[in-house]
Amino acid sequence: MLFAGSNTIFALTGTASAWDVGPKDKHLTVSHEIALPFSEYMISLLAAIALHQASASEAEEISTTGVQGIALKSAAFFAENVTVWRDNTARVSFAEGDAIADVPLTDEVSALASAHALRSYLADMIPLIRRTFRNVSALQLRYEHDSETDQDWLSIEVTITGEVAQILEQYDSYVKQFNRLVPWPARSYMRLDYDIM
Amino acid sequence: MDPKDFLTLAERLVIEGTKTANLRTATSRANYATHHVGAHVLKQLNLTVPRGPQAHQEVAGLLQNSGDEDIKAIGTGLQDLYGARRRADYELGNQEPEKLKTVRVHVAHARQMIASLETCLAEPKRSKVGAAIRSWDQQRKTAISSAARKPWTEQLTVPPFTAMA
Repeated sequence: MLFAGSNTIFALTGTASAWDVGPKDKHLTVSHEIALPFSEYMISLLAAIALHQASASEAEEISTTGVQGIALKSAAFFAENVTVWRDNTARVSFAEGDAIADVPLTDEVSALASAHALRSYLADMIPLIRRTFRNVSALQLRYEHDSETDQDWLSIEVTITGEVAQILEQYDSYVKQFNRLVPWPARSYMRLDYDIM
Repeated sequence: MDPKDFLTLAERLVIEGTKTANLRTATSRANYATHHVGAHVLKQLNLTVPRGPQAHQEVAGLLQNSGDEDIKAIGTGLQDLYGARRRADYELGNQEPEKLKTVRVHVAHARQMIASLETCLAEPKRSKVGAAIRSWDQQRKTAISSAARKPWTEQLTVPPFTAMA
């Protein structure tokens, strides 16, 4: 079973709802009431799935608080190896429901973030951006590939409101905090793209 | 030519008005002005900057590993501005690079970064920043060359997955 052999306890506060996993004629939908870091997100999903499999119930909602979690590497293994069916016909990758700090990730963003271990940094950076730029009206992550240099990175696209001097001041503060928060070379895979209204 | 002439041009394009080509070109020139001043400063500090497109990330990377908070911020700022320059030059269907206020921030930021970069050419910053970047560059080259000599099995940094019971 998924949790066999695990000694780690994770206290989760997210709530998963309306799931069903496994056979092709079932589906899975999971939502969280709060933003969870990726590892907790994965673990809460696993907890929800295991609980569901164990009880085989049609429960509408189940709290994962206090459920025994599993090691992170197992969560990563699960993400790569378990297939989830959204409905009777569409097979979707697990990454489809992936998100960091409430920001949904596309498969490409998710893959690059995993490949360069950026997830925990993104989980810190997104709140940093929302804190530092006082009027953020939109924030999304975009995968970019530069064919001139063959480099990949994630663009954190923000729409902000403010005057030029104010934005420059906020940007300066953001960059200095970003440099303290994210070490090299992870920094080279993340770029801020601001759109000022 | 003096790379700061690119910045002068960018500033003129922003003042001249809101033609989309002006605004896109202003972001592009602001990026190149900052990049070339950065490359010039690094060369003055006895560092090698490659030619061609790879130079952009190299200049930003070296500055980000300068050990000086302000210069590191320029490395990151340059990296962000490079992304904006790509969008301005290539994403013609995207209207974001045509927003006057955004472009004004790009150009004003480039002006600030260039002024800050030039402080690296005077002592005591010159010696301190130069030594820090050269030391990081040397460590990086040693690590790359040492990794290249190892058999591939020893280059693995991620332990293989252990199946759970």
